Amino acid sequence: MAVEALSTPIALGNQAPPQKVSRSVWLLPPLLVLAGLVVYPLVLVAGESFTGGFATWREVIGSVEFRDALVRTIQIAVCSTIGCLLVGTFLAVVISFVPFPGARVISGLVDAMLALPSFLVALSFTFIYGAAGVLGSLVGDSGFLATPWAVIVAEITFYTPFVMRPLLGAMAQIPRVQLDVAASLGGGPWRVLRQVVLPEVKPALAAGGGLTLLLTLNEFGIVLFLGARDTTTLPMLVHTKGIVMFDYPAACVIAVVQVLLSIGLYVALRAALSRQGGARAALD
Amino acid sequence: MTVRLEDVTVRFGQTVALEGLDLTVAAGETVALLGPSGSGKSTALKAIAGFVRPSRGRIWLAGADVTDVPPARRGIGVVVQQYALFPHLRVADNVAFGLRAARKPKAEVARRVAEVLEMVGMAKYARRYPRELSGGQQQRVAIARALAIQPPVLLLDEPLAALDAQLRADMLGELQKLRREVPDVAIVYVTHDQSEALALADRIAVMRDARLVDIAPAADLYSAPPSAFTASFLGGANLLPVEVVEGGVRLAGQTLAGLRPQAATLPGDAGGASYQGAGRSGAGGRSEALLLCIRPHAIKLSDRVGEADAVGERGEGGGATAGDSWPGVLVGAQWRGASSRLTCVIDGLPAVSVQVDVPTGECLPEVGAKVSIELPVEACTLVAAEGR
Repeated sequence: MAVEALSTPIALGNQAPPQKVSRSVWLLPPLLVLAGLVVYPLVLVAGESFTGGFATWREVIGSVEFRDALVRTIQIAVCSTIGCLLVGTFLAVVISFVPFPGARVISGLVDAMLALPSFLVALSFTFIYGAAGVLGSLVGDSGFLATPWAVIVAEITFYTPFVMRPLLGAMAQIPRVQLDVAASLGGGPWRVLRQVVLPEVKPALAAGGGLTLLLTLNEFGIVLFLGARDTTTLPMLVHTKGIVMFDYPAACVIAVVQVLLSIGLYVALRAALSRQGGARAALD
Repeated sequence: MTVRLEDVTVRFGQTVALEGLDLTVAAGETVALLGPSGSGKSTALKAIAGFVRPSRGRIWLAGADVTDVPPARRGIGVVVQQYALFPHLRVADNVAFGLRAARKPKAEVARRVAEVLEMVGMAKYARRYPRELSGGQQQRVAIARALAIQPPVLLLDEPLAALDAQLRADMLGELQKLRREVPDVAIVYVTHDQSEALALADRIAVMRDARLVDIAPAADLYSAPPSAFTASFLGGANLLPVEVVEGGVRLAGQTLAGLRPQAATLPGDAGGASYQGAGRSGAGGRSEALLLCIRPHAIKLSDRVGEADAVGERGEGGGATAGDSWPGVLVGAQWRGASSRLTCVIDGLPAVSVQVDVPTGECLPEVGAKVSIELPVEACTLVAAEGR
């Protein structure tokens, strides 16, 4: 790869003006770093997954364990994202449009939440819902923490700010006078929200939701920390296979699937977002 | 009375945005709130619409107290400077917004939308999005949207301020036409542009520093402004310091006969009595706190060639032979197309420049020439000077 990057400008070197060469030289270090630190390990992972030929792939993909984990991962990610969108939209609307003292403080807290590590939420959950936790001591160990719902609730708690941040920004852009006029025309809060506010923040909603879906798909810390037995997700499975069972080829197969899933989702989101933007641009 | 404001005061923290406004607007009447920015005119409009809640005072709509009624239940049409169309809704859906909020039947919504779009000449743009329209077109849609709900009151907040000059003139004509199409609607029109106020309003309310200064029919405010601020803000009058003397007023040492202050224009409570003893005028009593107000187009200017220079100097009544003319110098001229705006200085009043409009075609004196400035007494009024 580095050779390719080098050879292209040299081949053109005779005719190309000197700036072109120097520009390539500037591009080189970041490309090398990228190749060395990101692409190379991924290639190694992909290579490792094929050590046993396609046999490992067939075996892993065919296993019930893998398919359960895949379905569970997608279930948890989709449920968490929907939850984040609902809770995040509600909170963003309240903070943006319902004047109350401390709205700015809460808005600041949202930013602070973004900076916290995700497993902290899981840890706090064990204090609330765990056997020795606040709720646990009242009603006894309900087993809530062992269910996928615990993971979903924890992920909603942690990832809601990721939806709120772009929403708060978009809502601040809506002119107040537009809402005033909508109200003067007889629009109630629900109608104004549905017909004026939400359509205008749709891009922010899509961006926040897309990011959350990606992050929840790959979430590891919360799932590991809650350690629910029947909540095995793909990242958990990679961890179990690779670190606990030393089955590197199988772990690598799952890792490659995970990477493909993420990249596929990312590409789909980009396409959806740019189509939305493109439709808008075409109308302008 | 369709709209009635009683002692409406709006405070934002320490700032007083509107102080004790009393105002009534009858059905079918157009009242312009005219004033510079920060004069409280937009705040008054927001209070009527319900966007801000008055700190004090009551607002009545068709006999009902609506002070605590939210905007959505007041049924008032509002048009703002920035149009505030809903960007993702087509023109027809923008106009239908209020009708749908009122849960009107589909057929009625369609009929009414077509009707108001026709009224503002936007029928063929019904399928467009707001961003596909020009500023003037967007404002027409905004007006149609406000009229669609058949409001008894229409509030217009600087509706033409965002348009360029030519479009503004066209839209002014459109608004006059529209006015005749909705004869029963009470209109409150907020503007800082006196020409819009004069063209559209039955009555003009002049506002300044969060207070109502004067309110009267447009023609009355123009021909006989009750205050110095109104005189200069509405139509840009010349304001010349005068003293009251027997039989008239004295301007730059010369008497203008036949002009007497109204009791109301005199400052303080002394009324007509104050100028009885105005013989001792030089003393600087309250008789000095009067201004002679005259419009630039009412002043007549003529060349002063080979005239006796002692005309009317210190003329007490005997000076009446000089007519109502003052000697002065022309210090500047601006051609404005249909007329020229000349700036003169009256001899003995170097600090006050006098603006004179002369129609194009009349021959103009050279800048620097000595001129005779005639102030026809019938075009003059007296106003109290500002106490600041």
